[in-house]
Amino acid sequence: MSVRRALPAVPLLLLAAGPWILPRDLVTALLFTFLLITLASNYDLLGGFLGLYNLGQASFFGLGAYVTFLLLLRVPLLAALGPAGSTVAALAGGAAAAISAVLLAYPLLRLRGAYFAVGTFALLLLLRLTVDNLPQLTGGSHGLYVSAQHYLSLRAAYLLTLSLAAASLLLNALLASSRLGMAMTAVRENELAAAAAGVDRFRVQQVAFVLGATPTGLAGAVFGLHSGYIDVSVVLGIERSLFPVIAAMIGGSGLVWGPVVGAVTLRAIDVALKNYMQLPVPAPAIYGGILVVMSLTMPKGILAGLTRAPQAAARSGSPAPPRPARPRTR
Amino acid sequence: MLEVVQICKRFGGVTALDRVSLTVAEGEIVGLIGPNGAGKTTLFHVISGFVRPDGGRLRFAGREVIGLPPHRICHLGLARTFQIVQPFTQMSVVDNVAVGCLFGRRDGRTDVRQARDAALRLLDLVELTGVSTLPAHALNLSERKRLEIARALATGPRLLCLDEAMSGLTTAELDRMVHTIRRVHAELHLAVLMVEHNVRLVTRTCPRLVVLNYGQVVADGPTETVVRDPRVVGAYLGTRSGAGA
Repeated sequence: MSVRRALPAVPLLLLAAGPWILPRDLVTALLFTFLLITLASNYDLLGGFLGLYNLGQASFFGLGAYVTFLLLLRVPLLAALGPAGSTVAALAGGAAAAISAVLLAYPLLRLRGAYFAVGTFALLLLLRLTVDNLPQLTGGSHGLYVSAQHYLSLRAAYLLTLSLAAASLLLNALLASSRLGMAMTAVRENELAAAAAGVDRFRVQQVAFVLGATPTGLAGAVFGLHSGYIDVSVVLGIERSLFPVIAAMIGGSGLVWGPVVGAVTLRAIDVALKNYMQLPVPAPAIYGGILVVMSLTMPKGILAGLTRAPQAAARSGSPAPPRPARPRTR
Repeated sequence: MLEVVQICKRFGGVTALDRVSLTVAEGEIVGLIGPNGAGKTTLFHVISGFVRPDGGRLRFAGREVIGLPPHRICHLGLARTFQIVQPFTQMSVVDNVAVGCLFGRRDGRTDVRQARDAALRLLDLVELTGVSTLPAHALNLSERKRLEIARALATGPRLLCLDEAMSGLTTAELDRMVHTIRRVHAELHLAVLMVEHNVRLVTRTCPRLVVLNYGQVVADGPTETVVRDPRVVGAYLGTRSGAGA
């Protein structure tokens, strides 16, 4: 039992040794994969458990990055502290994402279904506009730089993003068998019945929203400190928001490992197309084509397609991916 | 324990509830009957907090409950089932009930495993033990109705409101359901308010009846007297001089 539980730690330790044994470009590729895994599993905390499709996941990524940078640039004490200052600023970036999720839950969670998806997407657009139009504060379209003393080395960034990805996965796995996870599944399945059984729908969704925003905010901070430069298109990019959704859906939404499979697949296709193939047509066209074929052949995701998800989910106690209620059988 | 006083609810030009008053005492079993569209389900929605009334007062367990959200009313000890059954279809039967054990009261269970054990005991009470590991979407209507009751019971209610727990069942299933409701009432010492269409069944189960017609209470009293009341007969069969005699 305890051996079985410790098994995932083995590949984790191997991965942690990556920066010392792997070539540099592969380390970078993995770092970006970890970022996508983090965002995709954070997205799926709402998308998979609650059936709330957050198209603005990047809002929290951007918030984390911008708050971190602004603190380092505007607070002399933090700047003077060097790496310790970066740590404090990055944690503050994560906290900023969490706090804004607490507050944003009030307007956004009044929305249901497609309206929630559109509302979260609008939030991302709103943040992009705000940052673009406050150049004195945010650098506008020129972006922001931090001084070299705050840069995160490739190794440090790699280990931090790996930890964030692992923590996000662990969070989803623990939720699947927890009290809160049961409440989330109940709310997804039937809000009316959940309320009648004593579940506080809003509070449950709000907690999930915050849990899904915090690692993403920290990931934004780490990403920013690693690259040393942020702007709207990088940390608040539309594709930054949509790729986690695609990763979760391609991999298998509602399954703990689904976003991982999806993220690795997406990154692999991306790297292969852009770096190793001489294409007669633009890479995104091929990319899109592959995604269309995959979603047609495995509509519930790769993992669900491979494992016949309903049975696997019932055994492990994790919820099956959301789908419309079946008609009565008898 | 439950006091409904002069409750009114209008939907546009339709008056669904017109100054409805009724009380349910501790441990009592009361039938709420009336023709289609009489306002029975609307009254249930109001009592359980899903619909806010336009006027009147509503007290439960010594508290004014109008304006409280449904989950808070549930925490006070009022549980309801739905006429159109509302299971968590992708969850197992036992987990459907465990949700009630975990969240039904303020001081509810916090351990998922304990909640599942408690849920199994309730499934035994409503005779669903055999299907506890199936996903809820695999149940037939009769089983779904029982699951509704088990989930409501899991919240530890002092008053159980059943909205047509017997509609759509076969004759054999009906007898079992009457038996189950009696057993639940006797073993758990709770009050039951049941909406029912089938007058014959309700007279067998409930010593007291309240009759709604066009959103108004037309009769309230011991079952034998109520079923002979000309206004009740009129509500169901019509009268020569119009409703209400």
